[in-house]
Amino acid sequence: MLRRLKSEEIDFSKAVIPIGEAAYPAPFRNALEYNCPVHEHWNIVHTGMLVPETHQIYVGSRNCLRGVIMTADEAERANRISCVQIEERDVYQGKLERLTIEGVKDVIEHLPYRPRAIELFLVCMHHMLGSDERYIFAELEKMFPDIDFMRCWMDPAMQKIATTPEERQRRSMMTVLPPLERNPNLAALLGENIRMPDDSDQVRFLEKIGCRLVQVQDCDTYDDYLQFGKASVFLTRSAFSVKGIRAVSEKLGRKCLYLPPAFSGSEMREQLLQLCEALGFCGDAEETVSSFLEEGQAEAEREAEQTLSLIGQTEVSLDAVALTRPLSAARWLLTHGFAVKRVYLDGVSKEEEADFYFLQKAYPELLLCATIRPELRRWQRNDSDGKVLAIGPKAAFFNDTPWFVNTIENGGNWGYSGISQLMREMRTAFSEKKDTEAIVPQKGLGCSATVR
Amino acid sequence: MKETFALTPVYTGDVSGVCSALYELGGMVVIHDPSGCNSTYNTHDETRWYHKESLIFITGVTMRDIALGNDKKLIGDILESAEALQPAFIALCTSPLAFLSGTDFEGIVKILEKKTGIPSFFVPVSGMHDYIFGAGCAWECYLKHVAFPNRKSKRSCAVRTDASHPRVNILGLTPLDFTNENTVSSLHAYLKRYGFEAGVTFALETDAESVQKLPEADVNLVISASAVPAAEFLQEHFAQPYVLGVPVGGMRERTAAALRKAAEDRDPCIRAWERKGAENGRTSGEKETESLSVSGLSPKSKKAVLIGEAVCMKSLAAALKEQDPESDYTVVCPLEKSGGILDEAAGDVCVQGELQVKEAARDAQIVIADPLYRPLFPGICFIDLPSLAYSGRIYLDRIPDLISEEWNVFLKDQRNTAELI
Repeated sequence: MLRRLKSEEIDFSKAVIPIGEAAYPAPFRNALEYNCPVHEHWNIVHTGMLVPETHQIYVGSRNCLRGVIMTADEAERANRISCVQIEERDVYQGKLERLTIEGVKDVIEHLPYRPRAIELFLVCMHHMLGSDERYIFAELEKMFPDIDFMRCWMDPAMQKIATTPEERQRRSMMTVLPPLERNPNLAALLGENIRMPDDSDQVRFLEKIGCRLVQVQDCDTYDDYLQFGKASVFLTRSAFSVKGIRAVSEKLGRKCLYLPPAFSGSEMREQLLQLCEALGFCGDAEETVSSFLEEGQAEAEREAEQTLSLIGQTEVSLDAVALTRPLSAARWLLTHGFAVKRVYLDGVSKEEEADFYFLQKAYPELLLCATIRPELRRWQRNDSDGKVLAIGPKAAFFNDTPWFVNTIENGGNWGYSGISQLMREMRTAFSEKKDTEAIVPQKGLGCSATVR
Repeated sequence: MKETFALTPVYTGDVSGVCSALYELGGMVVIHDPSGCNSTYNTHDETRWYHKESLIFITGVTMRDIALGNDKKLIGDILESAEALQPAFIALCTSPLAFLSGTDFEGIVKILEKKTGIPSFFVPVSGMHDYIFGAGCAWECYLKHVAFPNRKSKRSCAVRTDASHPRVNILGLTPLDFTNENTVSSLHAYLKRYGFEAGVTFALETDAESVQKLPEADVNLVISASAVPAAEFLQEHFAQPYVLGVPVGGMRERTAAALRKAAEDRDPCIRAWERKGAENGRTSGEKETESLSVSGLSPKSKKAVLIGEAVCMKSLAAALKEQDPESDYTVVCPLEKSGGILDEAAGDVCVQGELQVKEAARDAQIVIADPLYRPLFPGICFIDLPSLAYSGRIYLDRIPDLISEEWNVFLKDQRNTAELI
């Protein structure tokens, strides 16, 4: 009988690497993948629920269907999801396209309501068996001309080598927008799971230059959502939504901008200037942006000082679930005196290349920690000497700490207002314990309260 | 269409069944899957993931690897992890993609075993079956390849020194069917109370070492359809008889009688809910549970339908029938490998898909099932009996341990609901 190895006997050197020794952009070698019990991030089911009066239908195998249906049921939206189960005989008999069409038809006919749009998800098996996507959708559109069909895929076998399921879904959710008369003072934020707060820099700046921002989370009906077709510019903070805003802006002849949540003042400035240009702002853009950012920067610095005086050199860990640019965030925190020791991520995005090399040189001892390497199953989670303040659910889990900022995707925020918000949340988290085990396994933080 | 689920979810899939069955046996389960299988399993189908370690991983395979037949990466990744983590065995299973590509898993496990010296086996699931099928395959493979690889021929059970206290293994324990954390202790208490010696609880609160003691028992108690393949393996190779049944309510006495009969007569398989299994009469003379009718107040006859796992529902139906002989209790089972357990003559039926479930229960006045079945039965008296394998963790704190005295609480709690008819 083999002996079970203890945590201290496991070699974690491939899963926890000082950034000074790490490779860019893939610090960790691919291997078998562990899935830690942290599920607060949103998946395609949550995202799809954001558009009102839509219904999701998944055509897949039982194992795949189980996860998406339970996701919807846990979000108390069981009435907005259905499925068609593929069985082995359907595959052997070459019936996948027919099963998909007939199954979706059957589902629609048995629903107690008529959805305005269907998000239909095909799966890896449709790729594998060469199913004709265009034929499937053409048939369904012919059968149900009153329903918009969004072409979605749940095909994780493609996510590392081609367009991801998230990107396809968001693109399909955006390209249903119709070409309505353009409103020059209207911007639409698309492809975002978390509503951008009204006091966010981006919202306030748009107001300052006479523009209104609309968000899907504020829509009560499908028709409300379709009104986004009036926007003169489409915005997103999410890298998963870039292909989508490009597609919809091309379709409608509008502009689009990708404005990721930056931590550096120069990048924020650059993004706001792009926004002025896209909206045709007639004033002095340089002056307007500079004065706006100065105010926000001063506030963020004050918040940082206050936070640092409270937490001092308490160890800080952060993760890529909470902060979509974890290395930018780590850089900002470290250069402001915070004791960031670990960053939990499984890869480094191109956007963070400069931050990676800066940290590699200035803070080589900063630890990059994988979250899916197999040896992490035996990670001794509470290995730190003292209190750890975590930013994000994965950092909380792996550090086994009850002191953590429970947030995902930057809390929907952007700019200095986002940094100030983070500082306030760090102070609260430092002072108030949370029940980590009860919180972090829950799926889709905030989804139940957000979707209609 | 039987493939469509417009209003209700699907049961836990076969891959999760494999993981759940092998969880505590010290091995490494590798799912050849791009993404999602492990997350679905540990989020919705598993209650032990946060606290109790088990080596369960996915390969993260891509379409390119599948299309090009890149088995080298799969093998290399498993070898790396096996070397680092030293599992007691390696179990490989697959999601639909690799199943369709015709990957030679049997060949791969031979390579793994040769290179690592660790017992390795492939569990032949495809991602397109349910957990009863998956767990059943997993246990059968484990017994064949790891626990008893050198079995040669049938031999009789170990000679008992105390025939008055037969030793009983319990087969079919996973949180999918027995979620309440008190289940194992309740089963131990039950066996002790009725004069049995507790054997192995396969496979909850157990380990690989304990599993080696499986052949020492006189009889196996099979409490889930998922354990039938394991029971048949043990019968074939160790001449152990088995009894199908869950000791709930009035079934406690009848199950005990069936276990004694099987141990004494060597009947290969007894269904504890069948009357012939109880002919030996009560063994302990203890007063049974309080007589309660789920239909409220007999003698008014009613038709009740129980939906769920075959062994548990048949046992529950028999227990309820004993309390309320005037009414009919039939079982609708939407799970695989259950046809041989049900009694078609009594009105039990195996079904596929939500429309067949609805059709099978169309005349029912009472439906006893997981709460997520409610949308199929508007206006019908519905008694909630949540199951991890159906509603996942949504009603986790409402899943009872019916083997204990909670049986009476369950009945009492539901009485008002039933009286509304």
